Amino acid sequence: MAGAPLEIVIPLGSEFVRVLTGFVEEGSRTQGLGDKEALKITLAAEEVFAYLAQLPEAHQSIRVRLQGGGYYVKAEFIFPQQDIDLHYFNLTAKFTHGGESPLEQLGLLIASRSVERFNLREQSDAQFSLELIKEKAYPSPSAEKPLAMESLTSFRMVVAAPEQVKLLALLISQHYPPHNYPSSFAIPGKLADMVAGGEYQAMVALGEREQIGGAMLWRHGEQGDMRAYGPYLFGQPQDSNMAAALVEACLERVAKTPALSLICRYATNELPREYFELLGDLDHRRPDGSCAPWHHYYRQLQEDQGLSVWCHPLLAGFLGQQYQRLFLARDLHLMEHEGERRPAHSVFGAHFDRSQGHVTLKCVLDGRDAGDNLARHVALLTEEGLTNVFFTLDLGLAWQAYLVPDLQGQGFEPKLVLPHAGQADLLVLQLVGQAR
Amino acid sequence: MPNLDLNRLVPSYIRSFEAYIPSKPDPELMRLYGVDHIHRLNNNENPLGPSPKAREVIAAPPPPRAAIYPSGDAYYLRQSLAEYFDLDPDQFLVGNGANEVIAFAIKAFCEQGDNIITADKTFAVYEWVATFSGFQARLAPLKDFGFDEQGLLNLIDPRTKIIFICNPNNPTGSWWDEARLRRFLNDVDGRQIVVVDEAYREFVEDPSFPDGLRLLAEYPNLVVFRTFSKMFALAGLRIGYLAGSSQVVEVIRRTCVVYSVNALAQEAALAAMVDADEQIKRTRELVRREKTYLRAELASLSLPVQGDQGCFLMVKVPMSDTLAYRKLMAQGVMIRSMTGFRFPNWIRVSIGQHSAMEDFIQGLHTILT
Repeated sequence: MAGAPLEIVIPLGSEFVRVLTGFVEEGSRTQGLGDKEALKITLAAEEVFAYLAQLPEAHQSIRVRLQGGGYYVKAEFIFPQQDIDLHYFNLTAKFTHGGESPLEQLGLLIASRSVERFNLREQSDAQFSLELIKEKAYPSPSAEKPLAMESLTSFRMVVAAPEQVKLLALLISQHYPPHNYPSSFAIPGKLADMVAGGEYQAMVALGEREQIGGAMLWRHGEQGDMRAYGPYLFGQPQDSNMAAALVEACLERVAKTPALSLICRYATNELPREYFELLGDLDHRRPDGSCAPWHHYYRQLQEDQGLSVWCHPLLAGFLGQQYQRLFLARDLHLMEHEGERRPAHSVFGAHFDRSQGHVTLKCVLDGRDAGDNLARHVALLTEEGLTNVFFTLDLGLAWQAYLVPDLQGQGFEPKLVLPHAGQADLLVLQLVGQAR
Repeated sequence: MPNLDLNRLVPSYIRSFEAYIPSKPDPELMRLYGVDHIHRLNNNENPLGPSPKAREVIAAPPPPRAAIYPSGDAYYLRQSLAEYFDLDPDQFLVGNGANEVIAFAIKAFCEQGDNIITADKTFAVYEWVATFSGFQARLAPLKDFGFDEQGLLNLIDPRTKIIFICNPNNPTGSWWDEARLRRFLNDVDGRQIVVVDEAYREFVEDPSFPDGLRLLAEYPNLVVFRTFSKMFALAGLRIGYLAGSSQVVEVIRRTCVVYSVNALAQEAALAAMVDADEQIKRTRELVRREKTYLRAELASLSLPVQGDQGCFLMVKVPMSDTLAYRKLMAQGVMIRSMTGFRFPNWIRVSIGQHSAMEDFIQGLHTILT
């Protein structure tokens, strides 16, 4: 079981690297990782630390925090913005050392390969953190004969007990194609830990003899949104009202939370459409080269009070159409760069989800080099073999509109809006073509 | 600049609580939704407005009076209420709307570790006030859209201090008759305070509907909430009151904020009581007529309807209720979406003037086709 968070403050110097690795390796074990995973996150942390130690600001200290999350351990490198020039946190950063020729140090990219999730984010208190998330290893479910399913004439909704969550993982993976659920849902022990740790909530429809007839899961998103999964039905007749009952049970539980919207990116065919709105599709490109539409459904949880959003003129047509179609009251304020002063260097954060083959970029800080920086990221990610490259623009941040010409120039197309998923709405763009 | 450590300063039950965001003013909403009018059918306001006597008071408040504090305990209004209901003035406590007296009652009886009980799908303020005050709100599911007495009783434990009953219930319009309320009060047997919120009682015409004020003499643990916001159309002035045994009201008075009810509200409420009977009669006629119209129209649209008593109806729509809200707003009709009441895909519409009801029905036709 995960323990309390562990934290050290450590000077950025190569002589301290063993202090760092000892802390991360032993700490991640106490937080629940096995030997192999502890070693991997340690290697990733070492790469990050070695990289930071070479920076011109290497005289600074950095805070490193280890936090267990039940099924993962997160190592966070936390620093105030003014202490380190953030542009070194671009995956593609190059820098000169002692007046010598530029060094191509891709330590951050190397680190990202050793962990499941890698993320640079701005915290609420003007601090930045670089997160490395390493998940525990779980045994894959053994090949069992399909679990029996039973059509239920009556059922009741209950919060799933731990043993029901494990059974649920088997049922979902046996009866639904992989695009209907996150890969972690197929691993019983992992799903049980995710629910027990409070990251996910699970509701099941039970028959009189405790048979599981269906389920719905949900969790908090990163901002004012919730994410829903399912509903999953097992052996229920076409005319069953169980799917609607599961959605209603979910909605009743999230209705009085601070969340403004419920977004469903893993909808099943049983999703009762009358409870949701279709936001649009992304293209999900699979390793075998095939491509399938990835539907995004949405439901507002509170009455929409309207929002102001910032929009580059190149996107005004797309956004206007989307908001009109969705009946979302938005004040579109046009914004573009008109020669005013910009910082020299931009910083992009990359959120990898290697289990799904996805990477999502976002701009953390604006800079004059944003176009070139974006081009470098695209080239690097393409070289990595990532075929699902997304970019999210926060329409609540005016300066993000400056990026639109560069995004379009690199082959990104606007695909859909996620209402209330950022400071305001998030616009999701997908890399669909070649750089122009 | 010193660091402000809000995580340390703010209690956990406040950190996890989300502030209620009221709707924007009409001009803002009209601009956002591109409409030239809005029928506000979301707050169960009385479309007839205040009674003639109350209007006289509201129309001409002498400006110098604005410099003078109001009666700190609504002295004359309590006298008048006592005379009207044949009770003692000390059995009444007037607040800045009924919402304020909810807070007074919870503060008076609950301490750390205590809980209150109410239904899961009812007026949200009982649950809110308890939660953001650090007390547990235990919620009994409604049964057939109504308060379930056994469900409420099952949730009682030694730390339960107050049970809130909304009669008739907002938003479902279901209600307990006098026999049922008496049975419940007998079962509670004085162990907890039972609050009966009668905000919509003046709309009820059924003679078996209980008059909570008449039961006070028999049940000293009973507290009744009433308001001038709904039937008497003084919502904009914010004035409501509670009544109970003198003993209980004296305890609640210790927690109340004096001078919270402004002078104009007190005087308008006093005036509203003078011609109350006519106001009730005219409003009931309108509600009866428009509910009949709505029920027929909604039946022709094959939309399920819920709502017996009160100046509102709940309607189940074949789409997300928050989407229905936005689509109706785009036609100048503002209803209440019910997800926040834990009734997904239901909307609640307040009874308004006939033209507003027609526009609502027309709006529904448009969004359903």
